[in-house]
Amino acid sequence: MEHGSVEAEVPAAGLISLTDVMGSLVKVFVLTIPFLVESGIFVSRSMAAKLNRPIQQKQIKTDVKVSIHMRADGTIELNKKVVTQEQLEDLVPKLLARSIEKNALLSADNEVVYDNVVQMIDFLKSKGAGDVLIMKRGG
Amino acid sequence: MAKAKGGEGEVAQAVFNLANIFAFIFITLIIASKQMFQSTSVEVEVPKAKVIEADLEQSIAVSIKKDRTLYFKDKQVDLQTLTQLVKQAQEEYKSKNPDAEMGEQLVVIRADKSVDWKTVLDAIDAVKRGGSKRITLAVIKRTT
Repeated sequence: MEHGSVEAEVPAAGLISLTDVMGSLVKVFVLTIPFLVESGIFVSRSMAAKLNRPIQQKQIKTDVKVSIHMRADGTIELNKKVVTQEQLEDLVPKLLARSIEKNALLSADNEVVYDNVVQMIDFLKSKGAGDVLIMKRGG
Repeated sequence: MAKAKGGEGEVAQAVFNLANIFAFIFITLIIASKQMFQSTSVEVEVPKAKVIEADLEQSIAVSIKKDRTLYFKDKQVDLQTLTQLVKQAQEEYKSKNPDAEMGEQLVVIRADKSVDWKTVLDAIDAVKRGGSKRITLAVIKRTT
């Protein structure tokens, strides 16, 4: 009789562990959902369709203090001057702090890899840029 | 004693059932996760970003694969067709939501991270020509 009782308890203990493991897996999965789900970065006021010539940039009535151009060779221009990544990280927050609307202009050569452009948008937003206005250069 | 043993058996059975239910939920979540959280079945490796701004529910998906092929939802299209389809979708959205402004439905550009910027920019142009005012670039949240 006692022997039978022990037999009944052993699988129950194993199943409780299994339940805990499965429960933990479901919790981990639910917690990692935000890192699996696609979200979005706004290209809210894209002027891509409107701005075909650089001269038309003058018509934008904003107080944009940050204008970045990404070249195909990997160099970055900040307000028409080539800067290093370190200088960019130092200057962008200072320039944005002087801006009221905190908008930034971003353009890139056609050959630039999309991922690099997204990283730049991400960088600008993380440094406090409100909107990153995507510009299309003529050509 | 026999009654107690029967009770233990019932508990074991209940725990076993619970474990099965958890396993079923977990497997279902894994299998369905992509379909649950994506508005299209087009496979694209989107970039990662720290800053997340938009929830992509009820958005129109425009995908760009690594080979630069363009998709409106699940249908392969060219740029001109994309503009027309976006325009139609925005008109449908407006007719279903009279209070909404024309072009208010969110369009999400799901581009593979390895494509060139011009391809993405051309798609954004086409979507804007279709009257869309709200456009986002799809990203996945970066952990570090």
